[in-house]
Amino acid sequence: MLLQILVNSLIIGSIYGLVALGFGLIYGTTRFFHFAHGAVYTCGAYLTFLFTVWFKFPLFFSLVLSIILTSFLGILIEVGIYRPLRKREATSLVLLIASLGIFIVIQNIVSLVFGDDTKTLRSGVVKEGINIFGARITPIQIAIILVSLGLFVITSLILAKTKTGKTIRAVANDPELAIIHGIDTNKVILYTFGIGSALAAIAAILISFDVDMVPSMGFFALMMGVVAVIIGGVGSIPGAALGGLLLGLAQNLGVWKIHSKWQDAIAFGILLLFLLFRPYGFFGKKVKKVQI
Amino acid sequence: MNYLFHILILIFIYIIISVSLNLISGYAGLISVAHAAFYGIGAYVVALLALNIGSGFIVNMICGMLLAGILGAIIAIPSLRIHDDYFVIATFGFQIIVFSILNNWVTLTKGPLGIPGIPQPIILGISISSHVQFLIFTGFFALLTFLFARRLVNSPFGRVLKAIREDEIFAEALGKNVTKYKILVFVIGASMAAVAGSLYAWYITFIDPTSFTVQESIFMLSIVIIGGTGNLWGSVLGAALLITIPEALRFLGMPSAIAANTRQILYGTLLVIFMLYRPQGLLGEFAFRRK
Amino acid sequence: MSVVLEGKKLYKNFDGIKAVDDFSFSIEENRIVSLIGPNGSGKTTLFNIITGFLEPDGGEVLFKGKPVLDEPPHKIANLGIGRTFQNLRLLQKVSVLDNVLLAFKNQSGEKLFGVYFGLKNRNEQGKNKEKALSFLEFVGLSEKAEDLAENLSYGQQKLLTLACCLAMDAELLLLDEPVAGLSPVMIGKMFGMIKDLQKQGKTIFFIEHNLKVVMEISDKVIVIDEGKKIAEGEPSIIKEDSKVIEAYLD
Repeated sequence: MLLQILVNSLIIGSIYGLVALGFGLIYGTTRFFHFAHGAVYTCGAYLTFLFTVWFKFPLFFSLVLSIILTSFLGILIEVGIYRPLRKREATSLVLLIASLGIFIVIQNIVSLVFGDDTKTLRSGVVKEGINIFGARITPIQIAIILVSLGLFVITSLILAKTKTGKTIRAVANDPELAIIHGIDTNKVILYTFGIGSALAAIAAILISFDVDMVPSMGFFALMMGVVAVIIGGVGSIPGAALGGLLLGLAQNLGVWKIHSKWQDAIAFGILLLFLLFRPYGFFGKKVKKVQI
Repeated sequence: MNYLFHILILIFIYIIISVSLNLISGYAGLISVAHAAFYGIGAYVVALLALNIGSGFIVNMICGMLLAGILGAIIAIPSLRIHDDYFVIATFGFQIIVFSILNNWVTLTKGPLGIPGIPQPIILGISISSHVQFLIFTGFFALLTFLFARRLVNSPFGRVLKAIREDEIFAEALGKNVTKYKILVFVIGASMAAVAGSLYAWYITFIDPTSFTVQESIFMLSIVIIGGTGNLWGSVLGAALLITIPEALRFLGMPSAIAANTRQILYGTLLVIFMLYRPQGLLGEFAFRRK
Repeated sequence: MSVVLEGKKLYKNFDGIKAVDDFSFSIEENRIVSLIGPNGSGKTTLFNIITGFLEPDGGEVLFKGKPVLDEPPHKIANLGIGRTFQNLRLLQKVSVLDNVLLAFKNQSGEKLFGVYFGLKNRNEQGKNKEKALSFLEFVGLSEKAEDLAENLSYGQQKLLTLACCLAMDAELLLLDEPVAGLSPVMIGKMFGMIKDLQKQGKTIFFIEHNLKVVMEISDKVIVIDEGKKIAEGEPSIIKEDSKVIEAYLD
């Protein structure tokens, strides 16, 4: 029983972790809560649905196309709305509100086009899953864990070893210093939106092969991602992973001991506790308050 | 004719909501997406007390206001120690937890089924039940809250709020306890939202959790922002516009399934457009300033 | 001569850089003391520590003998320390008069109860308005009382911040570069005003780069470089101090 809980936590925790990773990457360089990330996430899944189920494209092609288009969507939002706002010296709250607006618009467009009923990327019946040491896990669930792990490793390597990665870290660390060193922060931000949105798309696609999809899936995933980022610490990649896993664990434990309907409340109760007592999470850097 | 009254009554209720949220988000600059939660608390307290204890409507409303205020303080006091961006997240968390309780604590709130048959107020022997009576009743409260808010913002207290919004470090350096003001405004706003919730519960006589969601909170925020932050008349205008336009769409025969989505796309788009071109809203005088 | 403000062994580290390093100083009552030093030497950081906006990593600050480090900025302000900011903080969209009125302490209209039930409110507001106008007259802005602060010139805005400090009834004024960016005429005005304030019994501690003003007006000069105090004394002595000359030529 306990093992099943751990396995389930690992599965959903991987998804939360991916969302947290993408979201955290974007927050690191832009310093505001890009809520529209949730809508971008949703698009990743629904674009795949559009291509595979409606257009009947080959699977691999659909996946690649969806991820690229979703990545492009994130970039479009940045270039079309956030960048002009930053130029006008908008505060992070203005960006947040604009982001909320974008989120609402995209989610409702998805709702209009595809309907609110549940859909899925699964073809065929829900499989029972392989039995490993008494816990059940399906092939797609194994894929979720492995792909997420792989993406975390790849992202860490990109950030640590490549030139692009280093500039991203520089801007995340100290944007003013980065400008002084001649780094084009707008380009760097573009990269983070591209990578972050792609990560969101992959997460959405993975989960849609496992369970169902609804237009509001992005909202829920985003909230979990935000909680995971805050628990793990803003600006920390291992933090995002840890946050995602812990959140998955807490939810599954909660579902086991208490009824599953309380899982939202549990997640946000944890969030509030962290905000109140440890706002920097486990690994986070101090959030700069105002410059005097 | 009754339909027109219905719209007006909704507008009056939303004026109370937007004026109170404007105090929090427009005047003090604290973005909150928890307002629907306080609205819901007002509605549920009034409904539950009336149906389970049978207490009078004024007592019930005051209890709702008190509970909302206390919860508001509990959320605000620790949250304001952190960065303002995190405060929004904290209000998100609170909103979702409240909704979760309303939806899941079935023994208390009847959960998704909602609470029907809420008794309507009786004043001096007259039961407030017709559209005209509610029009006057809600109009009275809308006027009261507007005047209350206006007195507040035009006073030295209001001046401190404006200072906090524009440059809170300056306000702090002049000796103003900025955190205390933020907490007070949040509590006041929360209590006022509970008033609106009570009116809603009495008017519709049926409440369920779907009226008190995060989406609703965001809608309320849109009214304040579009109408104009830092301007009470902006809140009135915003409420009037954002209630009437979707109703007009429905009136024009748009099927309700599409209408709901279209309404949301409308105010989502408006939010983005306003942030880009007029962040202070229609009548607002203040666009969230860089600190 | 009693000591109004005292700092003992203050330390502040920012990511490995010592912004303030074992810094001790004292400001005597009714004196004009200036703080000078190259850019980035820690002057504003010191002000932020004194006024409670920044927590030091070590040391003490005493105002009239009372330790103030643990107090929030608004409490320190209410004890009698007023300050201006290097980047000119003000309420731009509010009238000059309202800016000054904001600064008054203990306004019953600022308390929630007082907003609705304050009977002495009107009286108090009237008295404050009179005092505010007199402060504006002192700084030479009484004609601009109804204008929006954003419509004032840079120099006039600086004078306004000074008026706000006066309205706060501050006995110690911390001025962060009060004459920076001002025309020579305005510098003379500010100069004169600071001297007048001293005559009124106030104590002034200010940061400046304009060495001419500093040497002419100060009773004492404190020199800071890379967070450390390198000299402290009367202007005539400081002018000749080799360490000071070195720091500025560096």
